[in-house]
Amino acid sequence: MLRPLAWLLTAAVLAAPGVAHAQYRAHAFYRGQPGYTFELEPHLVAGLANPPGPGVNQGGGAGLRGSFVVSRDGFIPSANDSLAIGFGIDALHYRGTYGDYFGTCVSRAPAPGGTLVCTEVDSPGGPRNYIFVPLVLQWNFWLTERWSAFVEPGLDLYFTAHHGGVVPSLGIGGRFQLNNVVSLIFRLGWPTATVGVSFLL
Amino acid sequence: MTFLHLRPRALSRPVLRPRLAFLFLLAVAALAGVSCRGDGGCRRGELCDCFDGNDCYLGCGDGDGCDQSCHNTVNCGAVCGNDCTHTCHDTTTCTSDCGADCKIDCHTNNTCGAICGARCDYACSNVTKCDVRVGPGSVVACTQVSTCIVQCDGPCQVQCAGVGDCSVTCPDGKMPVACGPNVLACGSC
Repeated sequence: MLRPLAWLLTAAVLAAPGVAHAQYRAHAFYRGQPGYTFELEPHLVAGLANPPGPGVNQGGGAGLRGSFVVSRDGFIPSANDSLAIGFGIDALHYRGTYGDYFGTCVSRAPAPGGTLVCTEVDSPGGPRNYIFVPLVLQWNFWLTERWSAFVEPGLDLYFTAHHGGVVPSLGIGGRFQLNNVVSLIFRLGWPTATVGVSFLL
Repeated sequence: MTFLHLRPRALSRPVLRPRLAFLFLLAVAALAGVSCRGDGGCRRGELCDCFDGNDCYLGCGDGDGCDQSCHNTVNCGAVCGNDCTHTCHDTTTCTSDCGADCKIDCHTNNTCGAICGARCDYACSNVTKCDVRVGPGSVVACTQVSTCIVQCDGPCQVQCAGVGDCSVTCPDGKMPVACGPNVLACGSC
């Protein structure tokens, strides 16, 4: 699952030195912002802190994010900022921890004499797989020709065995444009942090 | 080296007003939720002891090889893969769900129940009702038990000592054979 992303990252990095400066500038149209309406972002994902729900500890995985530009002007008139709505899907495995052994019996089967035997225990701190579905507002700040930063408040839907819900999320990140389409992008936040490649389309 | 080159597009006014995005931000703040978390799970090779309280349900975080103990609760249940041990006492109902090569000791309880895989070593003593299903090659010992119900899914041996009602069911409707005092078997002795 992670191998294609690794290849993508490698290809993007290798492509960087050959980018012509003039070619890059040719696509900066609105107050120096790159001319894109949709950003596609495959990435690696890390859960650096306890996730929402019953999972604990750190996790890792992969995911995909898409962001639609909704405004070329952000909240600050004097700043070169813009707004996008982002959504996506991230799959993570959290390794869990040990210590408090109490769990909940979530499935039972009858023994021959009718005694119900617990056959599945949902242990809060055990290893868990998570699916996150983020929905965020991406507030971009176009700092230089190649560097931009963003803040992403939003919501994360999460799904794990026998649990699910929605939690607020916050991310702070940046992107470095290798050319007028491809960028390296990273974000730190909760519940997930990411590093990947962004395609400004 | 060739690069992806997109045709320049003219950008004019913003697609939507920032006010819309601001409303989205407000909605996010309004929907802020609360999450709960905890620690738990048993680890391979280490004693995992659960006691007191009403319910005590133990899983095996590593899947196999857990050493689970449960006592002085109302309900107790342990679930494990292969090669596990489970000791249980002083509960109202204690159950075990285990894979192959498990060793289970259920004593001084009201009811013991188990679904156990191949080569299960199950001991049940000082209990009102023992209710067990075991896999091939298993050995079950019921001692000082009012009712001992055992269903074998293959060859097995069942010892009933001081048991009021000892019921052994063999695969394919075959009758268990007596292998000496208090010992019944499915298949050969």
